[in-house]
Amino acid sequence: MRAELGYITRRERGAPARRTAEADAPVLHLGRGPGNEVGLPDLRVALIAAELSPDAGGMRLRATAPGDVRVNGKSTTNALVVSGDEIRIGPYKLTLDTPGAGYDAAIAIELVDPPGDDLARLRKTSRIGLERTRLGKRLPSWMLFLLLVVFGLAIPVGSFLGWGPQRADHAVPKPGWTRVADLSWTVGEISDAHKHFAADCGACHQRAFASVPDSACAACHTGLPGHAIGDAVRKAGLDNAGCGDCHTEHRGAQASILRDDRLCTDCHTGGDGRMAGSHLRAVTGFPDGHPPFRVTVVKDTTGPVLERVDLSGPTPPKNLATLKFPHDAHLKTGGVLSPKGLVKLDCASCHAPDAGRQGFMPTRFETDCGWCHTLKFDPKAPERTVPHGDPEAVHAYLRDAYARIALEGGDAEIAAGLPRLRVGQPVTEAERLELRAWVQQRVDAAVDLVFDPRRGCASCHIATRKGATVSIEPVIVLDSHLPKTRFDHGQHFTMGCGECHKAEQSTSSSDVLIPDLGTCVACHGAANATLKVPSDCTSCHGFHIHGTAPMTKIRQER
Amino acid sequence: MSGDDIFEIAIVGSGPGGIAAVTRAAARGVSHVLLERTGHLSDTIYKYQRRKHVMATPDILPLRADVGFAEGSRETVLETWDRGVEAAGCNVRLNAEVVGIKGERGDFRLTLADRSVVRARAVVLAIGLQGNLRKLTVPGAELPSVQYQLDDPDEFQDEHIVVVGTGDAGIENALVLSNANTVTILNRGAEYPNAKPANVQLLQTAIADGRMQAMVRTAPKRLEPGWMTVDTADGETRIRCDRVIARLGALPPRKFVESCGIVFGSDSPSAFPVVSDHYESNVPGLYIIGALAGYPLIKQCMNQGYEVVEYILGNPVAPADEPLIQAKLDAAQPGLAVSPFIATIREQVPVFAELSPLQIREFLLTSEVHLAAPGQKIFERNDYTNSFYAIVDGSVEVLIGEAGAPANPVLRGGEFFGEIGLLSGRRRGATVIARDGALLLEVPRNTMLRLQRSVPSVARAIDEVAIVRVVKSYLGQDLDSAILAPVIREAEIVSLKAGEILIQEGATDDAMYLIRSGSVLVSRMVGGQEVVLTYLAAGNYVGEMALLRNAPRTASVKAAVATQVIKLPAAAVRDLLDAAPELRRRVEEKFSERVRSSAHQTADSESGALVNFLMREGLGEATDVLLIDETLCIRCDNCEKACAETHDRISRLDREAGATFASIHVPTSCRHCEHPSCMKECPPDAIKRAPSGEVTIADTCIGCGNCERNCPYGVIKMAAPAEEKPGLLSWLFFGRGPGPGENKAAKKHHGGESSRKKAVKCDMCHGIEGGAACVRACPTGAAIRVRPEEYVAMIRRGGAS
Amino acid sequence: MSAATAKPGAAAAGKRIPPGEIHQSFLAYRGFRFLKWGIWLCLATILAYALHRPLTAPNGGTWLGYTLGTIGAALILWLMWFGMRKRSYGRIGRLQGWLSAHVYLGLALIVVATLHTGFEFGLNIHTLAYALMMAVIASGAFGMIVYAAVPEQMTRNRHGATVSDLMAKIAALDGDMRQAALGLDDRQAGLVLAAMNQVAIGGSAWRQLSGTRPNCATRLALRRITAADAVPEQRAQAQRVLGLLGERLEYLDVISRDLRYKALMDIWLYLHVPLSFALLAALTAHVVAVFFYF
Repeated sequence: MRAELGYITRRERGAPARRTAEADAPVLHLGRGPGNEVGLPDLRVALIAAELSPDAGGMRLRATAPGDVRVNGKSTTNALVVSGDEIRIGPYKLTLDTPGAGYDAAIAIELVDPPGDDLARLRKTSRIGLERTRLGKRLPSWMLFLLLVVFGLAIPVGSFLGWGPQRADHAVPKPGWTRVADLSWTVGEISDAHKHFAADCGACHQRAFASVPDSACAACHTGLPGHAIGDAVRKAGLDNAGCGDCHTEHRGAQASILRDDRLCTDCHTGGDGRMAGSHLRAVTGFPDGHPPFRVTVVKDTTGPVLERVDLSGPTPPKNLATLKFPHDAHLKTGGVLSPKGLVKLDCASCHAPDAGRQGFMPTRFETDCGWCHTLKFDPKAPERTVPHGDPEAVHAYLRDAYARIALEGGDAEIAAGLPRLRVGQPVTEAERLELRAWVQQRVDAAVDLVFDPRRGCASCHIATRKGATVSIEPVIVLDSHLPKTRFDHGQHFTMGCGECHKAEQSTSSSDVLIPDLGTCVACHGAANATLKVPSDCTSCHGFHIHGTAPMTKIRQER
Repeated sequence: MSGDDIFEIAIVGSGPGGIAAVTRAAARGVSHVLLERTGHLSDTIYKYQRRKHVMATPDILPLRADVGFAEGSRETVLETWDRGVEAAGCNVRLNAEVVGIKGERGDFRLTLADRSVVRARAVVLAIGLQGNLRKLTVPGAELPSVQYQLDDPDEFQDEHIVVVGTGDAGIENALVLSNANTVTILNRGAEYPNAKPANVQLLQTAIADGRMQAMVRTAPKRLEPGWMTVDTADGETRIRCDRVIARLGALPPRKFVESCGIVFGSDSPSAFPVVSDHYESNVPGLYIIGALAGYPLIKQCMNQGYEVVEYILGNPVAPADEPLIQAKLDAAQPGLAVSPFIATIREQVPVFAELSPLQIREFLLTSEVHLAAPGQKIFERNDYTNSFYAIVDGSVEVLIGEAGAPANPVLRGGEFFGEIGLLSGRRRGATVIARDGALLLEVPRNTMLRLQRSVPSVARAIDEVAIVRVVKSYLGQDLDSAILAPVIREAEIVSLKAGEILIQEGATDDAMYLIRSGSVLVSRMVGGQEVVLTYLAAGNYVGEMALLRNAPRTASVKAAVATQVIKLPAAAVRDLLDAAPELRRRVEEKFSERVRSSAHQTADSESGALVNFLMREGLGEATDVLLIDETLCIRCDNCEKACAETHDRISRLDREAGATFASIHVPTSCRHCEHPSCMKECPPDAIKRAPSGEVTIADTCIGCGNCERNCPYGVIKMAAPAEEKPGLLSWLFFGRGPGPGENKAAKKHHGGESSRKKAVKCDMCHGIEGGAACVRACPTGAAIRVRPEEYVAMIRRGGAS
Repeated sequence: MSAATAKPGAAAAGKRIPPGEIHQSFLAYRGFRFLKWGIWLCLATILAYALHRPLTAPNGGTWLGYTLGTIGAALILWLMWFGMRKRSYGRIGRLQGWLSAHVYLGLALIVVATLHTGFEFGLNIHTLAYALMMAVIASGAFGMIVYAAVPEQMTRNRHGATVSDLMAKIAALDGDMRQAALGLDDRQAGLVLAAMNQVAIGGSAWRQLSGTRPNCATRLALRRITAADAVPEQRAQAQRVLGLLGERLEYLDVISRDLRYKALMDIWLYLHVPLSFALLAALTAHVVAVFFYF
């Protein structure tokens, strides 16, 4: 069959251009390949896409390759086509026109779907640069910023202002999210003692932008004694010093007390005028800068009058003692003779640690002295002793004891020389007088023995005989010669007593057996010491003085 | 109107000059007639394209006419004139083509095409140059589908249009028609010598893009409806043609004018008739104004129309520019009067001797007159100013080189200076100070260049002196003129195109060359490869080596850009060196210095390749260039953003575009050329070079796009003003409005004048404290602005790359 | 053949850029001026910290802590101001210096802020602020390294061509390929068509960053088409198509690498900026928290 082909090219503007050709073959092949009678040179068309052959009533179109072949808009693989039909093969439109003379077919061929501008397509579909992806900076910035403002700022502040669940009583843990909000603002681990309040800032921080008031501490720490205060302290500007000056919080589990000598020495520094006029001695540090120890001793037993004396003074301080107790006599290496025989005494024989092992139980006659110093009053009855204590009571006891013997008889040894009384007969007046005289004679003898100025009571006490009775100076034993410090004997248990207390050389109970600063310094060094026990002020000294109200002027009480 | 009546004044031509004249005559109540060849007034402007913007330059010149004229569209201008003529009650005869003028003052007879005669006592010839359009002469030229003008290009859609004529008009028509039509442009030759290069470029781009077709060496042969038969180099062929636009130019009316007895200044095709100060030709009573007299600007024409009527009536009005010029003179020296001053210039200053008083007036308008006090600096060495100075009276001293130079040349009245800056486009080579009260005429560069082009005598006079000066300044100011004379006599100016070879390595010629403008590349073949040794800008000489050693050339020299050199023949120079031993010593010294550095340069071919690259990128004519080191550039485009933000939100810089070599990138940004191509064809003269070197575009830009097309480096673009946008913070935080450097605007058209595009280009941040914003905004130090010479020197020292 | 400058004064200019400062990296700005500043700041901070003996363990609440905190906060605000300064195009002075200072003082902030904390960390807003700051600095340090290393690789990769140029080349290749592939069999033509149809360049952030093109149809076509498969008379054409495909793949690879480099230089800012603003909020919360519960 013979076909006239018209290739139509449309330009953007202007009339379409038409290039004509002709094909002559029994069957017309349509496709992009060069061998086709009807060339459709576009890559989207199959090599041989279809064939066209004469058929009754028109032409037969057969698709010869998979692909889109349409006749008048309908997809087909085999169709009869006539003039006026429109065939689409891929991007091509073929219109069958009425053939001219001598032709069997006339086909107008137009590329109606051109491949287009590759570059424009490339540009349009390309996405270049991160700014054209979904990544952004502004939105994430805002989100993170607002997130942190809300959770980091608004909610914790709101929690303080009373938003959200609160609690009336600080004793129960804070409920709900406000706990998290408060915790998020914590600047450091809270001390163990205060962990209870860790999630409740408002418990201590009662006002915004103000430090924790002392009242917040005092709410729990009631009646906590304070430190000395006086005109000098006031002048130093310390009367408004608060708890927080020395106590920190949020500095770890154990750290609520600042242990820095400077906290003390900035006042106790003397010299620089801060505590001018004060009786306090300058302390600029430890061990250097620490004044010698000053002990409290009894100056006068009436009162009693105490006084503070430098240990390192020109003469050793003497404590006005009313008990005669030469330590050396008791600590003789050979032992002392006791009713139980020769006994070797040591410190612990008399000084038993107290329950906390910090100090010692008071030394008591009944337990510590009496077993040796028996209070016998009649050589004929060595097993009998007078009670320790009031001389009147001793006297009464003696009378009672001899009277009973006289009346009831008994002790043959003692009773020798007594008139014999008949059983069942009343005592005659004469007998009564005789017995009375005997008792009086025996009591007098015992009193002489007991209240002998060189023996008996007087061997330990200062006793003054007044007729039948004596008066005994009261015994004054100070709890401590160093009331301004606390010394934990328990902490020093590994040491022998004698390493500090020279009791073996003490011949008099008026000796003060407190070691001097040098003894401490032998082991203790400054707070930052590395080769000695680091010791700061608070190792020995307390700020809060027991028995006094906080920051009161204790001296005024006297 | 019967032929026996005699008019006082007959005005031929109804262009701006004719209209101004006729309205003045009407205002004066003089009997008059205006004869117009066509059926409407002002045919030339009538034939402008629809809505073409008509300029009213020069701005400073006051308009003196009874009808108004202001910058605006073609339609507005024509309407104003039509109304003005009507309102004044002028006697106008349309379709009255004058074919001959005979007679003398008091009785002229003007013969019209219909054989009728008009009589007048005086005639004003204001026919302009457009005159008769050249017509097609082929068979079928009379068909209605042939037209000689294009009024509204939008009238035609989907037609096959053939444009005949390859001048600017033809090309412009073809370009505008190609938007909606199938356009073929016929060219008799293969080139386009009659069109502006910018238009040729646009045309060739359109052809390359397939938007239109050009048939070269082709001429029309025959026309029939729908088809045109053309003659091609390969024979006759037939092309579809629904319409022919023939822009064959106009027949200059010289023949007609000469037939009236008027004498022209010369035989040159561009010559004008000789007219007096009062526009009177050699035929008494016959006056010539407007383009025919050499004044193509509308405003000038109109002023002359007004003035010529006054002159005819015997009123000696001063020209419109008189007060302006007088003001300039008053500012310089009280007591100077315009006419005597012009006479003085013509007598005293030889370079302007051949100018007519009118021409002098014209350039005085854009020039300045100075009375420099003794010791006053006129300009300083290294300034980028490039105006030209003529000494009317007094004298100046030229301070050359270091202090203590033997004797500084003194220039006196009649001499001129500053021509080297004008010619080379480079910095001033010397400082000039006034010796006594020197009366100076300062002519701006553009005016001077125009003058040089239009008046050959000016160009010649300048060149003659310039050669002497250049030779002296290169070889030694102290040389005796007598010794130099033979050299100067034989010196000749050689112009080279970019890439043209001046000296070929191995050749045996031995002339020496002084580079007057442009720059050259010196290279040598090493191992079969061209290795660039250096680049030399104007102000240097080349070729002295062969001359001194009598040896073949040891290196090639080629022009990096369009370059002018002064060629000094070897023999003359040798004689000179023999005569001046001191000069020989100096030249020898520099010569050995060069030999030393050349050895080093040959070894370092890498930096030579970089220099070569930079020169290929046009740095040879640059005075300041933006360079980006791509090993530092993080492609953040902050330079572009800075440029946009400091310049009305339009970036004048395209960072990515442009060539790269060995990590040095030359982005698309103005290089502030020595002879800026953009400055050449700026109708409002809006492109200026600042004394510090920046080439800037003033607000007076009319958006014609000439500079954009003329710039060989594509650094000028036409941009509509960008929209105002919200502050930086509201963008930064809320993304409102376009960000820095972004310009989402320009989609919305406000309509009217404000949205007209204007040319924008780098102004080197002129007037912005701190210098170029692109460089300041570069976060990594990749971008720098440098002078190419400095940069090349730096490369040579190993300071860069 | 050449030359001697007849006008020695021509070299007298060049006042804008001091010699030797031509193309100087921001890291080396003014002879590493800001590196020196940063080092001095660090040394001063370390020295003060070493000599400092506060009542408690070192922390932000001591006088040195407050001082370092104030310096740190001021530095952070100043460093963040860079975003504004970068866009304040009218300002005098070179942005290069600001970037140099931004980098080195930003790094010095590590020392200042760490010593401000006194090495006290916890699960709270304060440590969060510190962590955010360190994250910002870390992202910035990444940026600095990338800025120093990548531009050169990027330049080398592109050989002076822009992405636009390369895309034009690919488009031109596609045009050629449409013609050259006409004679191939349908399977091979389909592969070529698929390669041309898969035109998207770039894509998701991950694609750009990794520089990968999964299921690149061009690569697939190149692998599946062999000249030997073609009928003898088409072999030359198949070879030509293969050559075009190879060239296309090469350009695609260059573009992918280029986008990868560009993405690397940009990506860190997508962390740096949001984290900076998070830091600003956290820093504000930190300061308020500290003084709120004084």
